[in-house]
Amino acid sequence: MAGELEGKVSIITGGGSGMGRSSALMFAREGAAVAIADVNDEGGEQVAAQIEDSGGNALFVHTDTSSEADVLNVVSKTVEKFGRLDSMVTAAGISYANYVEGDEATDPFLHPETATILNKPTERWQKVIDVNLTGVMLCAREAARQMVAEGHGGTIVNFSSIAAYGPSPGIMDYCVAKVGVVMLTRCFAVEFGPHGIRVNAVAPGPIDTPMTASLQRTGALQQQSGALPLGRMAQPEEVAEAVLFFTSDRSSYVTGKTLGVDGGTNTV
Amino acid sequence: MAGELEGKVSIVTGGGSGMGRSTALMFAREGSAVAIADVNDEGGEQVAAQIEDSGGNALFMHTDVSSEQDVLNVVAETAAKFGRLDSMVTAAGISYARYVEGDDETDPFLHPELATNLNKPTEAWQKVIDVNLTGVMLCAREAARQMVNEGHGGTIVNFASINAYNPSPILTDYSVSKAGVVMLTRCFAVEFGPHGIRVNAVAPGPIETPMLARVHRAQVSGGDPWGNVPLQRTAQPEEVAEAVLFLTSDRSSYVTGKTLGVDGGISTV
Ligand SMILES: NC(=O)c1ccc[n+]([C@@H]2O[C@H](COP(=O)([O-])OP(=O)(O)OC[C@H]3O[C@@H](n4cnc5c(N)ncnc54)[C@H](O)[C@@H]3O)[C@@H](O)[C@H]2O)c1
Ligand SMILES: NC(=O)c1ccc[n+]([C@@H]2O[C@H](COP(=O)([O-])OP(=O)(O)OC[C@H]3O[C@@H](n4cnc5c(N)ncnc54)[C@H](O)[C@@H]3O)[C@@H](O)[C@H]2O)c1
Repeated sequence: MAGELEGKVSIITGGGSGMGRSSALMFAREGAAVAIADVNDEGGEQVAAQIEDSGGNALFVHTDTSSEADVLNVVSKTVEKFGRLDSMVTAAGISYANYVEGDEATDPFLHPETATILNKPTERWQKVIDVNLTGVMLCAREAARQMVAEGHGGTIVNFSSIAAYGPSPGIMDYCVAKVGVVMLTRCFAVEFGPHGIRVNAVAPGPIDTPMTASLQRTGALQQQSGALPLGRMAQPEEVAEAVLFFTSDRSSYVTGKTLGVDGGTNTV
Repeated sequence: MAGELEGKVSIVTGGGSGMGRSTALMFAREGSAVAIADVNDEGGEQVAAQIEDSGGNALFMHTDVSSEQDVLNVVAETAAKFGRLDSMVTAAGISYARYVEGDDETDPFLHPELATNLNKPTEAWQKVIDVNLTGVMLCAREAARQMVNEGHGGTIVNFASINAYNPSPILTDYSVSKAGVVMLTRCFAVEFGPHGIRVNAVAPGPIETPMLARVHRAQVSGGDPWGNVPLQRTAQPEEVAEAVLFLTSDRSSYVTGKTLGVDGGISTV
């Protein structure tokens, strides 16, 4: 049986780790050529190599999604190599400002006192908004521009979070960015629907990825997810399945929606 | 490749028409045995026969979902015939009180003046709430009871509507019943999550089924009535059935308590 994305071309930001990585591998298995856009060169190269090794088509492009030039670059590199663009997945994200560098001294979960609204410096807010909100806007917009120019429609799947619905101390910037992604998704759906471009989002709950490693070390994530209706955290593949659903024709009449993949977290 | 629901047993209410029918056929294609519960004997029998004819397993049970006894019967009969229950889909619904009888005089789309809150009789409200809300509760509850007893988890997918979010003056009863389904879905998800039972809903927009045909019929011409839908069209029932299948299959293993709009982008949540 042919894969669900046979002949399609996708860009996956944050494809070098966690849920972006799972989505990239799943999309490749379903027949899509995948461009991985990440600041994480090691992870991104590794995922691209893994796809190529299993007979798929992949490309890694070092990309900071908060840089307009980088985003333009990955879109044009992808189209140059694979001839078209059908799908964008914006999984790149950070939970706190120095996240990518892994600087735990600024981890709001480990040092809540430095991360209160009163104490967190403006630059950290700015960094989280730049990557998690403006970065999503840039990637979604440039993908939509390309798809409109190609004239065949397409799909965009953004990454929001349960944090979009539940204010959480220490990550005010993150919560605000993620609720922005919910509305951005709706606005894009309205503008690009007539072009046959569907735009949806997933809002993951606690997922077992490097992003939650410090929370898992303290036991906080296990405690939080144990209290959920499904009583556990999830593997990144469980979110990738929802991303695949939104990308495939199976969701042909779904647009503007944010689906919680969260074990029953009390949201909408 | 094996189907996604191989070895599973499902009940689909309203399986004799529209989206319930599409769901029943799709589930059967994916390997599930399907019990069709409907007041519409002709439609229900026909769908069951179609499934059997293509080599699947099906059962039709005349069922009024607003009758507790009927719901108990269909669950018992299904478990007796197919040995278990894994999934319940509650697609049975009516858009206005006498829908099943097809009495045009009470069609709110043809006679909006009769359907305002000031003018609609209490029985009309009661009937819509009985079928669309209490009926969903009964079916979901009895399915959950059966699944808890069997001890292997399962899924429930309810049918809400975009009207759950958008008030429609001639469809107060309908809109309220559907908003209730959204909350019922969340309440059930919380209670049954620990049993491994996931409970979700779909909220369809304008879908080309007999239900929508009545809206079309009443539409006074002029302009494209779906021009405000971002995807600029209505949808086929199969497009909703795909979402029901997603929420029933293991592909949605961490999704529960959610209502997914399948509505072409109509502004909801
Ligand atoms: N893990 C969770 O529990 C959880 C919950 C809700 C939402 N999310 C969201 O899901 C998405 C994926 O998270 P994950 O858990 O897989 O995290 P992850 O840390 O495993 O992966 C995120 C990837 O994004 C990349 N990235 C970060 N900043 C970037 C930038 N400026 N440009 C390009 N790439 C960048 C990182 O290098 C990394 O490879 C994120 O948007 C995150 O906010 C995660
Ligand atoms: N068609 C739409 O545009 C639309 C939009 C939003 C929501 N919905 C909802 O989707 C569901 C399916 O609707 P459809 O469009 O497929 O409608 P439909 O009229 O084609 O099918 C509904 C089925 O439910 C059955 N039914 C009605 N009352 C029943 C009862 N008391 N007990 C058992 N069966 C009963 C009918 O006999 C029929 O077979 C309904 O809940 C409806 O409210 C429909």
